[in-house]
Amino acid sequence: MPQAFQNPPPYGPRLKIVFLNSLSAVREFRSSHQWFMPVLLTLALMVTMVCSLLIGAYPMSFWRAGDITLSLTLPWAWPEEATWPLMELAVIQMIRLPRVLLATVAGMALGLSGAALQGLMRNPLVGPDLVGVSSGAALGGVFAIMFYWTGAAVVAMAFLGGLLALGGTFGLAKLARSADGIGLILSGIFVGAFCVSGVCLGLFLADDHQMSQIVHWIMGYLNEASPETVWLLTGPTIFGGSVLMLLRWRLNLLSLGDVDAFSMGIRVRSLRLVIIAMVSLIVAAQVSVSGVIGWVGLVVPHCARTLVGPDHRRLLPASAVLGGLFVLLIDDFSRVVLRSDVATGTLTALIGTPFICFLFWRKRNKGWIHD
Amino acid sequence: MIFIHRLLRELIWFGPFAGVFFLALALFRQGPIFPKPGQARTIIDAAGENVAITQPFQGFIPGWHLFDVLQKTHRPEALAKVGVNHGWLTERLSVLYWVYPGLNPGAFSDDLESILAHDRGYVYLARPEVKRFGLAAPTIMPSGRPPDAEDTMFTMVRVLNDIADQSGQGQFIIESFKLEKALVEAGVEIELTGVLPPPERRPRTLAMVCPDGEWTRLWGSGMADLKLGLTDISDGMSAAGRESDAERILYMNPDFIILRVGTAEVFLRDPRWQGLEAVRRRRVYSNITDLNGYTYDLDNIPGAYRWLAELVYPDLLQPRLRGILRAHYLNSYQFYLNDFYLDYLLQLDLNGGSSGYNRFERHS
Amino acid sequence: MSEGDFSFIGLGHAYSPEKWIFRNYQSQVTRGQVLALLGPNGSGKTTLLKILLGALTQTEGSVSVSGQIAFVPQLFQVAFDYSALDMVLMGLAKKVGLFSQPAAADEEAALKALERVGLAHMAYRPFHEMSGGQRQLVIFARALVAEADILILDEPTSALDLKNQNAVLKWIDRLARQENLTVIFSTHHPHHAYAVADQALLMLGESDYAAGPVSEVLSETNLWRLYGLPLKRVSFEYEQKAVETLVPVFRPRADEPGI
Repeated sequence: MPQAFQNPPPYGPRLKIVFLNSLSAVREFRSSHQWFMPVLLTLALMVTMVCSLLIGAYPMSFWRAGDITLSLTLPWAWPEEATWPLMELAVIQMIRLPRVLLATVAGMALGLSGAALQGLMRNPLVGPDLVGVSSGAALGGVFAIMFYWTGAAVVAMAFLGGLLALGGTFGLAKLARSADGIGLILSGIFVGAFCVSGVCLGLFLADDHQMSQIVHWIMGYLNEASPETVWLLTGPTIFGGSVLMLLRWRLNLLSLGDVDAFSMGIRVRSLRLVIIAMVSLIVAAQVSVSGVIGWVGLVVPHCARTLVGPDHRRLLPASAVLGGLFVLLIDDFSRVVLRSDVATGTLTALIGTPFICFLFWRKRNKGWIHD
Repeated sequence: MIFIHRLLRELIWFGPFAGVFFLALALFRQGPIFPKPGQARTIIDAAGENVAITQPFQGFIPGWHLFDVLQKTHRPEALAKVGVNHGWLTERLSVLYWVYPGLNPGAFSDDLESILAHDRGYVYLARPEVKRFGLAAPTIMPSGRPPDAEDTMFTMVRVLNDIADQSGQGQFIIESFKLEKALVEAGVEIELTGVLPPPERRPRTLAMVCPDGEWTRLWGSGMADLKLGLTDISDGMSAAGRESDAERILYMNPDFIILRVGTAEVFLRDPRWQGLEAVRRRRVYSNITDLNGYTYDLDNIPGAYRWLAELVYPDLLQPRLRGILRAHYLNSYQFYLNDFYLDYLLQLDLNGGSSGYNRFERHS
Repeated sequence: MSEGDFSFIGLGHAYSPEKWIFRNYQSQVTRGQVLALLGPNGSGKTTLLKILLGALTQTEGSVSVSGQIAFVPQLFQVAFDYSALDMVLMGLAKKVGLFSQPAAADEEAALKALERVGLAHMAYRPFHEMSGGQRQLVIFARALVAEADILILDEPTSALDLKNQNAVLKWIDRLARQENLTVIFSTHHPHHAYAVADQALLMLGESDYAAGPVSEVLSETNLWRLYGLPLKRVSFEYEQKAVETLVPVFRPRADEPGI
């Protein structure tokens, strides 16, 4: 056994060795007690969701709201004679519950697809809004709106648009011979700009009702929360999300070189196609229900990476849960504190941009290496 | 055992998704079923539907129908202080702020939860979605008709006053309006009898849009020029585009211009328009917000007619506008528009540089 | 042909018609042997390795392989900061199903592989905190965990210092002699090939090559043809053992003959 590099160097400041050892101890704890983080995140998400149901503009006592929420969520706790005022029940069940669910699932969709996209493109600087898939989905949806289609047809058109946009980004990057570097980001910007100009053309041709819908889309909104929209979002997210979750270990393998991957028996091309399709599906559902919400898909995987490490087996679900938390908290803020229809996309950009600057400053090129 | 351990390891990351899904199942719960209101009156709304209004009637939650309610019911105490976007409140008509001083106390919240917190006796005017919560949301504007058509306005008056249980008041408002309009039109007609110039000597009018120093657009006039015997030279033309409209205006060379958007003073100084006949004679006038900003407000239509008539034929008509406006507000609101209010309403500073606008000043 | 045997005949590849990189190459390796590929920069070593791996289809000729192949690439940059264990785990891609995640048994196998290369204590360290030599060993472990019969290495010693170069050569030797794997590696250093390999393939030109046992192929004449620099075979005694190696004779002075 080669002796040369079996032990750490015998010289060096003691503190550094202690620090490195404790760091590796933390890492070992994390690796051997892998249940810790998922349980923590799950609890945080559930608690936040329940608390979001308890707050709002309608004046209701905390205990009353808690009572109603508990009965709603636990299937056996529905009392025979409901003694609450109907309006309060209505507020929680018909106004707050769909909105909280919509915000959470939209955040989860964005977190999941953002993490998958970063793994796919081997570049932590991308998100669904930066590679054009969000704008492409918006363009597809605008197309559907111009023909007065609704519901699932809009999702289908958005999916098509997102898929074409993402494919276009990839193709353009391949043409520029820079499939995972700065060329990819540039292609994403070009394709995104093209799609946005298409949306603006739609704005020009639209009548009043269509126009307000289209404008909402560009900015991102969570106002139209109803059981229909929640299921319209959750359905595709469950499907696409399940596929991505099942493939999450394979995403690790995508960061290897082409020859390397081949030697390990991975069919890179088909794997990429499947992931692109699923990401487009999820993002399309999210965009058609709540417009373009930017930055979440970029910022949240970074945070998740600092919490659980870059292994996609843990990163994908952690990113999803964090994304749900992020959007939910932002939506709560705008719903309760601001009490007006501020576009969610605006808030995520306002909060996300300084956050990512902060992340850059802290990490300073540790944690990822790019060309 | 190992299998269970392995299964748990796999499943633990599906935990949060399962939790959210579980919560989403609560959506399938039976929603609350709202009983019909115990005591209710039924009215017929603008769409012809029967709507049950809970008794006792507490008031309106107006949304963007705030000024409609004020103008068409004259009942400010029936307005709930909720449901109007604050920013919009500060943009509109100014006179009613003097007539009803407590109108703008601060920001109203307009989100659904705040609105729902009010008593069931309130009627919601601009949020049809409150029907899901068992509340009355009658339609007050007939669909398919232009908002400034007279029958549209009369329908709104009727419906609003029926909701507020003061149908007599609604009738009175409609009759007063008809009477006033007839009087003003008759007055103009009488004064013009015999002295109306022949068609080729009447001013060629145009209504346009020209935000200060910017683009230009024709505007279908819809003015009461037909009664005044005027020709709108843009009749039959549709707005084609901003640059071509500017060229067409210069070609058509109107004698009399109404600016729907834009300041008359700036327009008169703009080098583009110096060749126009209207500019040479300084017969360019900006819209007055109170009079002809929104022509489907009942208060303004007779006054706006007289305003236009006096500007078009300044030598043929006596300056009676101030008296007419004063009489209207006394009649409808029992509010005396003193000279200061009238000057403000007529926006003398806005059109002060245009020819003949000083006829609207007070005469000492 | 038994497990771990490898041969190719008439092998040729051209990027575009009539621009052949090499033509009519032939060689044969049996189980437990080490083949070294030598050639100057741009002679197509990596292309040949890709063809042997199966990642590239050759223009003419045939390759016959029996057994599993594992590949050890040159040191590369990874976009994300995976731990050593995660990197080694990647080697099990063929064993883990398409929609499954690695089981505890897989992680144990990965740990064992890290133990074999002596890096078990670094299992949870991020890749970038390791030195070049340690990284190369992690990639080694990744190839080992797949339990292949044939190992192909692309310039395994190029980016390493002398100490690590020795370690890698030791590994190649051990894998071939003790674990009975077939090893094929490309290198710039003929003395490495001389030390460890049984057979060598010198890529001298388009149809020009020299293949066979190391003692024959790595002659001074062939090496002069390959590198344009004289290399001398030197024998001496070191620690009571006879050592034979190749020494390049650098001629840095401008007036001396040579390239």
